[in-house]
Amino acid sequence: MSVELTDLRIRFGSLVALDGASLQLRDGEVHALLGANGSGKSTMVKVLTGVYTPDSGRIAIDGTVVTAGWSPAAATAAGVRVVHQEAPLLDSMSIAESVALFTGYPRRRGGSIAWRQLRATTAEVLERCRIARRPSDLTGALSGAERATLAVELATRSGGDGLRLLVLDEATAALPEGEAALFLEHVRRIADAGVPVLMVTHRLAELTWADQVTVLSDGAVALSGPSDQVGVPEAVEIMRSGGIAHAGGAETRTSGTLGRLWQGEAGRGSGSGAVVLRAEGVTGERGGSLTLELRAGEIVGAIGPRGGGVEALPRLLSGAAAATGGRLAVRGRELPLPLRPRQAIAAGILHLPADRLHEGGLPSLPVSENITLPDARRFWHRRGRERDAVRGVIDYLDVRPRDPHAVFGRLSGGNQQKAILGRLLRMQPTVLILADPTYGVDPAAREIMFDAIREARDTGIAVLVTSTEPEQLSGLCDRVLLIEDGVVAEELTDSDLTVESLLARAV
Amino acid sequence: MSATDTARRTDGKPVPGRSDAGRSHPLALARGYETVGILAVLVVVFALATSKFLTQQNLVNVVSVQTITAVMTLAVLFPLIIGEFDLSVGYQIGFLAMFEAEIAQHVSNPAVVMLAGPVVGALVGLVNGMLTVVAKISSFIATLGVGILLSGATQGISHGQVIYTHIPTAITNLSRTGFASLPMSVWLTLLIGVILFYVLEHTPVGRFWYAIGSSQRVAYLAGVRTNTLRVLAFVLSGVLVGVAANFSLAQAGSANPGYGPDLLLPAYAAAFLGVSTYRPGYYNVAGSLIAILLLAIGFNGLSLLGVPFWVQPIFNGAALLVAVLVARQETRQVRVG
Repeated sequence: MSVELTDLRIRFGSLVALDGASLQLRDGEVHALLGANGSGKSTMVKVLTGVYTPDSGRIAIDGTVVTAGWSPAAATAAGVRVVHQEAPLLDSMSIAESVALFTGYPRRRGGSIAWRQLRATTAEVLERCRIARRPSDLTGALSGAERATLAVELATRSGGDGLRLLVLDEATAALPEGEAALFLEHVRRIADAGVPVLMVTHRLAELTWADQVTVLSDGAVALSGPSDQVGVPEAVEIMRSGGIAHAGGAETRTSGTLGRLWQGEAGRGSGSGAVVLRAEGVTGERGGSLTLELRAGEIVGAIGPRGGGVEALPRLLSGAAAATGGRLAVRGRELPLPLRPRQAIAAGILHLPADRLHEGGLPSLPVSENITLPDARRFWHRRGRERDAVRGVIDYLDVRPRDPHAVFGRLSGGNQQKAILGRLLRMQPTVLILADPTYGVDPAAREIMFDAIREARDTGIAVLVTSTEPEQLSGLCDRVLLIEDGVVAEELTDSDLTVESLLARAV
Repeated sequence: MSATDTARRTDGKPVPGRSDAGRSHPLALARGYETVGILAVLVVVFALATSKFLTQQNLVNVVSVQTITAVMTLAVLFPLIIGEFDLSVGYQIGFLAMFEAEIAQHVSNPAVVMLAGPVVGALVGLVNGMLTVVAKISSFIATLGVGILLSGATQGISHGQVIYTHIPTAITNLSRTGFASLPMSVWLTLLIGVILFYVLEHTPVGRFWYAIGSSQRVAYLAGVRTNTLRVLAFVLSGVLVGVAANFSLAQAGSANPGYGPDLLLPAYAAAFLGVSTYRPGYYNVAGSLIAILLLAIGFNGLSLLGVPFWVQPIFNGAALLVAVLVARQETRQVRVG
């Protein structure tokens, strides 16, 4: 089946998500779709699967225009199958039962489950995926790559055998580089059977592995062609500049300074250059030995392949995960390990967790309480002071809606993240640790956050930022640490600190 | 992921948040006070329908009887706010009343008897809290287990007999003497309500409890002493059940081994109903107390009009469902269980 999306345009209120983007998918080809966050990748996928209806443009399948009446049901009937990043499998049940969730339970006469038949089906599925497990094994025992592969295989089988187009929405994002091979081989087998595959990704390795490549920027196609003709540097350049040049929100924000946020008190940042945080051989549950120093008044980035320890770093330094060994000192004062979050906070280490949904904010409480939460004591019987503090954060980071009583969980991802960052900045950190702060955040919000982070640095705060989008760190960080196999493998400074070098090392 | 995340902003115009919607609705002012309105309507209707309703004796009687339910409701409020259940409170009040009655057989000092309930209640709460927080058993199961265990203990210390001797008059006077024609138990309930209202709404500890209820993980990462505060919520619940046990001894003048379990569901019903009032979407003291008044006045008026006894549960159940449906927008967010 060939699919053609032509000149798609879609607006959400004042936001232009797709601005004349086109895409052509052909039988047996793997097509990689790249772009920075907010470039329209997800919107494109949602148009393809019928979730969004484009304001204008054309969707054609095998030459027949189907734009009118295109819906999730129509897309499914046409054979479009999507696999998302999180494989929806049942960890606490057997692989066979996870399979049955998609394929349905085979029944015996009388209606009881035909277990033997289910096991046979599952064994066949596992063999096709080249996964060496038994159907009775727990689903939770599967490795990341095995899960992803199984999820793809099950998606191709769900809703009958009608797979005509496979869409992988960041399906490899959670896989360590070394493990991705099993998954990619399986995808290739599916493509070789004559099915077009659209792969939304931000891994450069997959850019060269695919047959066709399209790079989106600001809702339009910036670059498209066969993968051997699309240069990696060009693609990288587009992904980096995408969005940043269009950070329109920055001018609209009310001018404010960190000083105002602190209500006249001096910040805790010390003179630039002094080492404020020293970690020596900090070890987590999954091993590793992290040694690093953070100085006052610098922004240090941390990148690295997934599973290599870069995710653990912010959690270990802030007490969100228990460190099992090593030494950690802030301003020369040794901190106990394992560290509790409250001890870290008392020492001035403030942490913005990567898992915004479960660890960032209190979804059912108002924005105001999310901003005052950790030190509500400061505001006890000081209503006016509390109102000023909340107002200050909302103004400084342009949190929308501007209503302090808005329920936090209803804010968009970018605004949630700004509110949490504001909470941390208001608490006058010595060390600010930001885990993937711009994940799923629109470019305008990202620029506001980056400006605030830079201002925090200028007041003498030490900042550590990790990111799954290394291309964003080049303009922000003073130096970047590469973390591999649980240790700091390399430090990039000055001329080494380019988008190309970051991307090359992160994958 | 919402559209805002995946699309770029073309101009600086604010994206309207949902919380702004409905601001200008004519009934917006009444939002959160629907139950107060219903309560007022009921009072007017009953006052017009029967002359027996709006008498001092009747109204005093209504509020006096409700003191036990009111304190029990406040007792379940704390576990609910932190996202836990305490199912032991029904068995617990029966046990604590019986325990106090048994102490009264041996000790003549009324202060010892009166304090025995809250103190032992605090210990029971501590056990509930430790099982939930330290042993990490689901509070639903842990408190059910503790409750069943207590019901056995009640039977054990009473040998299945009602104890009606040697109940100190200091206790029975709680529901007989007072001032401004209201008995002490009513004034004490109001005092407890005011204190708890202050603690929950206007102290950091209260706000931390709500934060834990919204997300325990987030509260922990933000430096809140989540374990201590969670155990404390269960302990407070136990203390309040001890107070309610005193009120029940005062009202009945005796301790009955079968007493208690019937109080569990009305207490929860009032707490859930209270979610629709004062601070919509959150368990709160003011809403819970208004909910209790609503249920009590409703039943009282109906029984004065001569409806049979079995109408009370039907009225209570219907009131809960209707109130929650009316305030559905707010109450849907509340995590129950």
